[in-house]
Amino acid sequence: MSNPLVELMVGELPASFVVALQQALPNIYQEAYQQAFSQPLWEKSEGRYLVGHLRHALFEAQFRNAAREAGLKTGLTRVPIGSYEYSYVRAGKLFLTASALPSEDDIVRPAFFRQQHALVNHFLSNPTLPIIDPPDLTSVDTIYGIVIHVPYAEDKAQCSYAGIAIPNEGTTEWVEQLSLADLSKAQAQATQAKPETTEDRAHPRKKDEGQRKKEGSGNE
Amino acid sequence: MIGTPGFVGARLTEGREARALPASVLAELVGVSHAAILQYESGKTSPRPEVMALLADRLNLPQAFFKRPLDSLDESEDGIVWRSLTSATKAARRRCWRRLTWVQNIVRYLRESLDLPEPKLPDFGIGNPALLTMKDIEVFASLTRETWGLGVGPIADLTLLLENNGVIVSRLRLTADGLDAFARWSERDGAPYIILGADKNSAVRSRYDAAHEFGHLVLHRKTAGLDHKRLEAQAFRFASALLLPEQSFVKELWAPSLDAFRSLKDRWRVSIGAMIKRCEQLEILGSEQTQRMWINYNRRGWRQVEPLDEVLPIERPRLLGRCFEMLVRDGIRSKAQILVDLPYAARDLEEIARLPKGYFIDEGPEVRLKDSGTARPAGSVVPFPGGRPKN
Repeated sequence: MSNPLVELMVGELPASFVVALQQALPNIYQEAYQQAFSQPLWEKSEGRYLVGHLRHALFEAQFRNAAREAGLKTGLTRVPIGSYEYSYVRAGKLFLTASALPSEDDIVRPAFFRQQHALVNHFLSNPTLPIIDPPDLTSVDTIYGIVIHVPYAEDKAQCSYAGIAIPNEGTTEWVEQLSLADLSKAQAQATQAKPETTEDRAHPRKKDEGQRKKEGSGNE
Repeated sequence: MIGTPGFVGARLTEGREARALPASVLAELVGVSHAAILQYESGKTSPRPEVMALLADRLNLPQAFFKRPLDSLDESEDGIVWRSLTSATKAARRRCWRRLTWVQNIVRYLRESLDLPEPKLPDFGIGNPALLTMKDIEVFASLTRETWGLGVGPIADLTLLLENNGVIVSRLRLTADGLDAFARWSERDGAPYIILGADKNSAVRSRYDAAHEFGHLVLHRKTAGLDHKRLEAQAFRFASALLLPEQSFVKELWAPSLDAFRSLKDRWRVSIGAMIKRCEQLEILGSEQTQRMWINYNRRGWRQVEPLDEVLPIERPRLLGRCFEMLVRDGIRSKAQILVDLPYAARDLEEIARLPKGYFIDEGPEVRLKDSGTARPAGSVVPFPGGRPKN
């Protein structure tokens, strides 16, 4: 059964943007880990503190860069209390920010700016079952999504999962979540040329008697 | 000396060449001199009835075949672009050409009672193929798809597509190295023919052969005096462009690597080797990269058998078989009448039309020797009781 939110992600996000994120993530994780733990000026505990910040910095820059390369609108917005800037990307109806998570089952930490953006997803809080009554996205202008990425629990230098998650209105749970790998696959399938099925018309037709006589059949 | 009334010497040549038997070998099989065979063929003498019976038996053709007057519609070997002039022997080419004339005779016979799909091959008005560039050929391949209402996706069944559009396709054992397939546009029949070798057991290679021969039909109706190598290169390019359109194939190729080609093989039904060549044609691979690719291809043992070669089903021609079935089913001709009308061995007709073995003459279940403990080992000499008989 088709899923309108997945279809929206497949359709609105340029494949090059999705691929660029997938390609960048392993390097970002490696680089952040190396920078955090190879400095002689501090010890491991400072490294553990810094690795998330470095990964955040590297990813945010790459997030905007990949969007620009894919022709998407992107920029930085300061949080209302003014202490912090976050990146956003606009892709059609999708408005995206990015977050790192401890595991793919987790939900993002509560933050005022995320909660504000998630308000636009109120139409997803319909109590009826989404499969029976899928949300109508045609009349919706904006849907808020979050690009999430997760390190391996036992090896923080590697990314174990990356995907796009759509939160509910209160950012208390995910309404939909799709890994970047599955998104790429769906996009490749959507752009694949359809196989040219061949209708079987290789059948002879019997000539009528008159035609056969006219053409001088001498076999009968 | 009593000969065979109505014997046509040229039919003996035809039958012998169709079986790829040199005159000297046939002479030995029949027990006459080499000169006698040549005299039969030239029409100077005709064989005695018992020799005639032996000739028919050894060539596996009915005696009526040798009494059939020469057909003014038979065309010469001209106009067929052979895949390789050097590697296929002349005898093999003659054999193939003879078999093609049989196919043509069968089609003419079928057309007396049946309407076959009309040829709908695109005509690009190519006067001199020598002037064509590879870019032109890419365009012609793309226009061919357009003419036949195809998009840019993989062609599901090329053989059926060709038959739908009036091409007569037959799969025969060609048993000739370097001769995989051949084609002819018969001006006399107004029909295009493609003969595919049944010797290859690879669906994708056979499909490529069909596309290649179709390329000759579209591009090379006039070939007199043209460089053979150039014609072949053009047909190869046409086949590649038809089966792997640049715009869609390149989009799906996530990397020009053997693994990527392998993953696309099932969908596009084109060999990995042909995909390497296509990437070279489209300059996705440079010459050094291509060379390295071929080295790795050989290292993986794919030169002999590629992955999926034994899995993908081979496309089968259907039209000729359906024609015979219709003749019989609708009571137009009985099987026995067909065998009288067409003086070929039942097995030849079954092979040409891809009908099941025994369709015309049910020979009963195949008899096989029991593997008993008393069976003699292969090659053992049976003692002849009472010594060798005197002649």
